[in-house]
Amino acid sequence: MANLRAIRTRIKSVENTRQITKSMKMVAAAKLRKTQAAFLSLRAYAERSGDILRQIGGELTAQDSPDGANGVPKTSADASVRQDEESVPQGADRWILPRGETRTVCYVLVVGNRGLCGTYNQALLRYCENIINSSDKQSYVICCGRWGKDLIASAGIPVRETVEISDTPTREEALELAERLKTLYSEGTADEIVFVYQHYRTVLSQEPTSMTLLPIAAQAQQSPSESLSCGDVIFEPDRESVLSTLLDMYIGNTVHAVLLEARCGEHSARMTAMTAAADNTEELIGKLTLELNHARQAAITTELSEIAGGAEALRSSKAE
Amino acid sequence: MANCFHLCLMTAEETMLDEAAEYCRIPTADGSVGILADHAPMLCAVCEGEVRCRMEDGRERIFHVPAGVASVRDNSVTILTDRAEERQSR
Repeated sequence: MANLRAIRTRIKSVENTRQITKSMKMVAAAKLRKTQAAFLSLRAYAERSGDILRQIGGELTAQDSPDGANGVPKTSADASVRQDEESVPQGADRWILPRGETRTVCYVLVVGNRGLCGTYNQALLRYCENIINSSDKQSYVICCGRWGKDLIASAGIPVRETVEISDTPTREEALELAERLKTLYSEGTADEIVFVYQHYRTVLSQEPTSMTLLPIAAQAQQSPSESLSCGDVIFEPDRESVLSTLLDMYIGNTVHAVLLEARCGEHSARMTAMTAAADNTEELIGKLTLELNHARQAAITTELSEIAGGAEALRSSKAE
Repeated sequence: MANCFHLCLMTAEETMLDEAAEYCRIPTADGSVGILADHAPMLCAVCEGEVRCRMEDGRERIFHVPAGVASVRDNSVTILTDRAEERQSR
């Protein structure tokens, strides 16, 4: 029976799909575990360095602004009034203070390395498009991850370059990227560097987010909850060298944390998608098996009635 | 019991130390800085070298660190560095 054979072939192919999705799920789970462990241990470290930096940053702006603004400048208008006609801040402060005028924004888009992870990449891409279209500043994008080069280009996002980041980003990769971004910023090719990535909330939910990496004061503006300024702090050997060490560390950490977080999200999105796919194949196999049984039973019944009919015909011809 | 402070030594990979200590010596560009309990708030750039700590129970622990940052505030010392390696104390 052609029908029977067709169903059997179909079941076999669905079984193959099940095997593939199951193993992809397993691979994603293993990668997620690894990335998550790295992310968790980095997070505590990054938070601590962020705390110290906010403390030092609070003092910095208190020192530098004669108008007595406590903490970081509240709006970019404040900043531009304060340093009108002033050139780019020098020394370690140049990473912290916003520039008088933000002309070019560099968005760092952290997409996944592969597809097959639900709406992870698409949602992020839409979010990024929205941000770019809604701002009136010049902008370009540095893309981290191999996914959808053509798709991103066709969405009208101006991609400047694509950086390869592995599935579990290492410290070296992060520091290299950080170095590249710092160069862009200090050369003036970008006045602001913003990460656009999927914030990892739980295994089941990620949320597209943007976070300003440089200047750092903009970050403090986004989360003004803590003010850790604590009076007279001794700097050893001096403020400048503490600050520059701290900033290097902080920028490296932030980049590393964002990359890890984005990859965690990617792996867990893929895991979820593959679990759903494996469940679907399971269901499909059940349905097809039922169909197969029906078809087989129908074939047997037909055969039996044919035999019975044949026997009946023979008997009646003998009787005559 | 002598006065103690909270000492925390963190690297990007793990938290190496997170307990009470009596004394800690940190290498900086201008020489070592010794810290006892109730130290004034301080931020210092750590140079490559050895961080020596005397823990609450009198044990001495030594860590080799590359450059990093140490923060002292509210009787709590946090040393942040990219890597750290524990040395056998004598």
